[in-house]
Amino acid sequence: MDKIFETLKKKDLEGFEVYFEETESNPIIFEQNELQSLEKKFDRGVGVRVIHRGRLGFSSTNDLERPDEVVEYALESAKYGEKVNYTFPGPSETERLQIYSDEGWPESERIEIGKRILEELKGLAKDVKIDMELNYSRKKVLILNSAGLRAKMEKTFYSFEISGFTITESGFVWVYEQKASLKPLPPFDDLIGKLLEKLEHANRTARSKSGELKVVFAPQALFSLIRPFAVGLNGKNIAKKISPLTDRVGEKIIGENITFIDDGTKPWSWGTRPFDDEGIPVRKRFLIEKGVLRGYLLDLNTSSKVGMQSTGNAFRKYTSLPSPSFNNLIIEPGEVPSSEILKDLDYGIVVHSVIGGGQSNLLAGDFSLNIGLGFLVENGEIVGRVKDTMVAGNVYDCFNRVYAISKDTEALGPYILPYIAFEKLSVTSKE
Amino acid sequence: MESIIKKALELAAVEYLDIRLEESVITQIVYSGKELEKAGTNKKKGGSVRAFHRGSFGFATFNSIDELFKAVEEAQRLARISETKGPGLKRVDPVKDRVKAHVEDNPLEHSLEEKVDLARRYNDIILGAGEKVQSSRVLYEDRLVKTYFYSTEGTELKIEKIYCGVSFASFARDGSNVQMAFNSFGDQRGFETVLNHETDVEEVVKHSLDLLKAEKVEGGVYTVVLDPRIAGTFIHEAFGHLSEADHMARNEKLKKIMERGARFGPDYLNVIDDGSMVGERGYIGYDDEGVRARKNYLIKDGVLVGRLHSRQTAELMGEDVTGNARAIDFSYMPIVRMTVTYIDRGDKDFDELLEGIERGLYVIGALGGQTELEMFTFSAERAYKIENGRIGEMVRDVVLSGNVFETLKNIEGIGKDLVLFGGLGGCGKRGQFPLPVSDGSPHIRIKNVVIGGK
Repeated sequence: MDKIFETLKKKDLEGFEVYFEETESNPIIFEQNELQSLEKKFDRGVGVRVIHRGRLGFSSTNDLERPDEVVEYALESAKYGEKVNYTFPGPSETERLQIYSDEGWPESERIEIGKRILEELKGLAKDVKIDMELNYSRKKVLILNSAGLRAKMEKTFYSFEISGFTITESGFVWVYEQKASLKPLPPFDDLIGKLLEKLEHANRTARSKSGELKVVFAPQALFSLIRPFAVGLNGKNIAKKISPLTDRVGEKIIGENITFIDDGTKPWSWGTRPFDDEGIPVRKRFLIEKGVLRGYLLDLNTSSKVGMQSTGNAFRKYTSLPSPSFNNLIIEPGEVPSSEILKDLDYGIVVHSVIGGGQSNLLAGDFSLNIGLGFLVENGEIVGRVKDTMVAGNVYDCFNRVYAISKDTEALGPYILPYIAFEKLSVTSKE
Repeated sequence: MESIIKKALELAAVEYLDIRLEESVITQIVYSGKELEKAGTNKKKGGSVRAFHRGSFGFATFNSIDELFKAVEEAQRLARISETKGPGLKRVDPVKDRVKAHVEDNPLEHSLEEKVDLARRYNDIILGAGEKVQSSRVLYEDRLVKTYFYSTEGTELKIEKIYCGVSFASFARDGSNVQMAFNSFGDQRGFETVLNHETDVEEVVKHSLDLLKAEKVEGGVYTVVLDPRIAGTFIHEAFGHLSEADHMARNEKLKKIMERGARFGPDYLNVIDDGSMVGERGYIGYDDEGVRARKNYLIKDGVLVGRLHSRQTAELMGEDVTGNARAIDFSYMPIVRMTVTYIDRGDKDFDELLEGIERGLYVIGALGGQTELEMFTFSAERAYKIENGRIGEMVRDVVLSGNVFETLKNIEGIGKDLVLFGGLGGCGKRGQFPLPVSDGSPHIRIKNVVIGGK
């Protein structure tokens, strides 16, 4: 690391940056009701960016004993690289955030939890095949650059994922729950209850009408409707002027009951970090406030192209160049519990998972999704599972027709999402 | 290095242990609009140790060969923690082999400058196509992967692979209407794969501009004719994933559904996975457990005849190995995956496939696909209406969904024109993405396909 830094210092460069990353993860994996594997994964490497004759060069390696080679590759790459209109940032004040808890999660404890859950489910959900992953990992990042930045951070990650697969009269059923945090997880017995509830509802099939229906997206499914916004807000697409949100800051783009916040400071949240992957401090900021576009997701490169400041949204691995993304995306919750939204539904579908997210014209905001797990609701009661049914629309259109947002939210990694109920979405069902 | 590996293997005191060392050199060039976003070379090396004991695996990865002995101990410790008493791994005969990359024109012998020029030439064609073309993306990639694989059973493999490919996308914009068209070429044949695509690039530009004028497809149930590319995606999603034995090895209900001899389609339907097709992007030679790749029929004459196995799933189900345990790189455990998956050729001419369709769609190009094994979705770049057997105007936003137990039976015809596709992307499963695979098919016709939309 220091060797690479020293080698770079001796070169005649306008700027340079060394990004060091070390990750260690220890997943325990259960497959189809059996303990399948225990893993210990370790990776460490550096990415080097140089600015030479106004152009960017980049290379990466995990062979830290050969500093000359990675610098050489980076310099060669700078012959062809993009013209650079930014400089690397110097040191800045960063907040102390809650992102590290080295309490750990012993392997034996995790195996115990896994086995206990399997035992519990054996009685309650016969014929359901359970996959689980219980993971504890750590990540260190160190960024050094020619402007004197020396930014260091260490994060811990605790996560639990469970999915159940069964074959019923309604066909193949997949149910999924997860919990993730930067500190040890609180007991997650509630997830098992949720899993069982979905499995029970999936036992019966129901046929939905085709046409314009009310559709409620649960957090796990809502993620697919966030993807077009992730693409539209991404500084790369703003710089290229292919995002429909280009040059529209300050304009109302969707319904005024919708607020998107990017908060990289929320304690123990998956995406929380004091600074982004270029050393820019992260903040809490509005992306969409009451339907009005407030800003984009920018890193140094994209911000320089659109004439703005970096928003602290650079993400990268040591093997890749930075690219903007959400730190933690929070959709502001509403006032009513999700259970009440369903109770008030006269006729419609509640969607828990979709197949085919991200395959439509995301730039345009389009989606066309096959409902993986979704239920027909009539007069507030779940009638059964809908199948061979698609829901389609455009997010810049349908987010104007949100009639309810739940108070309760689910944190899916860095996405903290409520239930959202839409008026009049196009549903196509195979009659 | 060989002697160190052999010494490390001597430390093994579990049922089975293998060591994998890998070195990769990747050159990537990315044009994004006018800008050359990236041009350069990255190196990665490292290894992993996989130990198997009494039904479960321990797996440890490392960066430097100095850490090999520690990783051997760690993998064994992890494998022993579990008290599972599962069956072992399917027995295979040990092999010693050395597989060289089968490229004629080695991309690593071409300069970065030459590759940048090539990408720029394609990029200029897109950007020079008029003011409605808002942006572009051209990606060139070559990748050398050298793997050493040694096991306690005596298998010793040295495998070298060279992937090379190019992809190009054109973004057309008219007001708030933004449309994208895309194509890619990638395999293990060498540098010639990326040359002479000027006409293909021009076509991509034309399609993106045509899409600006196309109407959105009307949602409903259609008879569709799929072109070879999207038909390849279809069979990958619709049946390939369901054939992966890890889903069923411990699931009695699914095993019953997937019994050999079960009818899945018309008697002219043949589906194959074949990792031994030299030069294709999904070619492997040997899988990541050191099992030789082979041609495996999944469906023969409409009837299920086989599936894809790792050594563990083969043992669990009492079947033969197929050579389908793969990992995207050394830092992942091999899991059951596809290689080159395709629908074999049938006997219909293209015109015959269109015959008698009153209201249908001719669907072209694949943007992606996803499956939950029974229901699946795949999306097209563009489609044309078929009215009374004739191809009409272009429509866009065509996302198709199906159900494996119905859609395969709804195949009404298979063409003669089998084509295999590789490209630069790949398949994703259990967090391992992108795995290089190929898929393909002739043109096929399917009835009763649900398409989303207004």
